[in-house]
Formats: sequence, structure tokens, C-alpha cells
Amino acid sequence: MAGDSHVDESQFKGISKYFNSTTSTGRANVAKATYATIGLLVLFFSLKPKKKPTTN
Amino acid sequence: NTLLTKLHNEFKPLLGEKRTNKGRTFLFISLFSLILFNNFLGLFPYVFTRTRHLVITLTLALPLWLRFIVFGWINNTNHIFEHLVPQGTPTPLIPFIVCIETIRNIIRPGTLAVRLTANIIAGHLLLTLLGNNGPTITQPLLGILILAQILLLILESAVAVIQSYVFAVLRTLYSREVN
Repeated sequence: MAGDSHVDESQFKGISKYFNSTTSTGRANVAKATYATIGLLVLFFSLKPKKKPTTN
Repeated sequence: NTLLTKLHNEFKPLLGEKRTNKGRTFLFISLFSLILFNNFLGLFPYVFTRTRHLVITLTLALPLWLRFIVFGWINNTNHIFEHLVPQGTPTPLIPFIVCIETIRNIIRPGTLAVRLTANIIAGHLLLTLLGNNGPTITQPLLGILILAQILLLILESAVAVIQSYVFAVLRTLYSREVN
């Protein structure tokens, strides 16, 4: 994979400074954020109370 | 010796110039040699071809992959995360690319093993099926069949070399990604 030695980090402002697909840190952070989101979704659906069917 | 030197010169730039990579080409050269000899031996009649069995090819692919993944995740965690997102990926595609790259990394030993097995099996199956028709066909066609078998054997010899080279080169590239 290409390195980011030639990328000018000062071009990034705000949140894109930490989350982008150009710098090494940015790419690592977006991957971690994606994994965290997927983990949270899995956790949410596994802990969600299941609807009990009503019996008469 | 010429072949091994050529392979060493081929793998060295793929691995990079880091000090920790010294001597690592020999691992991949021995892997190449093992697969090459097994493939070639299998071309002889009545010789058992080890590399046509998934057990053998998976044994070659899985431990090396596991070693690189465990080493990479423990020692170069940020580097592994970086590799999940290719440089310049458009923002909306990033979550999908991360998932695809994760799956790609997980199935790598499987693809390596199945690629080798399937290529060897396909060639040997073709040779066997054509050979089985030998006793039943007429004499004029027998000459064509023998010629076809010879050509297929030459092709299988080339496949034997190419597949062992592909296996070794891909393993080298995958190890490069981890470091």
C-alpha cells in the first residue's frame, strides 16, 4: 500500500483531519470507527429484548 | 542455483529493505521448491500428487497466514487498520471497503489453497479423462489423442511451475502488507 509521506496534512481541517482516506492515521481511524459501529450494532441487536408472543 | 538466485532477487524487492526481512526470502524459496517438486512428481504415472489435496495446500497456507495475522495485529495494529482502507477511497464507500477488505484478509488462506488444488486437479482430471478413452477409440483418432496428451502434459508442467511461483509470490506480498 502507498505511504503518505508526500501528503500535506495541513490541508485537512476539522474532523477530516482525523478521519480521511489519505493519511495513515486517518485511514486507521476510519477503519477503527467502522469496526466500532459494527460492534455496537451487533451488541444492540443481541441485547435488544425479544418480543414475547401473547398466548390466550 | 541460478533458479534459486533469480528467485531470491525476485522476492527481495517484494519484501522490502528492512533489517528484519533479511533471510526471509529463503522461507518463500523453500515453499516454492516444495510445491514445484510435488507438482512435477505428480505428473508421473501412478504417482500420488500431494498438492491436489486441500489438506496439504491448506497446511502450507494456513499457518503462515495465521502467523502474519497474529504478528501484525499484536505488533503493527495501526498498520493493519491502515491497510483496510486503500489510499484515496471515496468517503461513502469506506465502510463497505473496510468490510470487503476484512473478508478478503480472512479468506486468503482458503483462496491460496484452493487455487493450487483446483489448478492441479483440473489438469490431472483432463489427462485422466482423455487417457481413459484410449482403449475404446479408433486407431486414426489414437494419434490425435496421444498428441493432445503430450500437449496437455507440457501445459501441466508449465502450470506446475506457475502455480508454485504464484503461491510463493502471493505469500511474499501478503507478508509485506503486515510489516
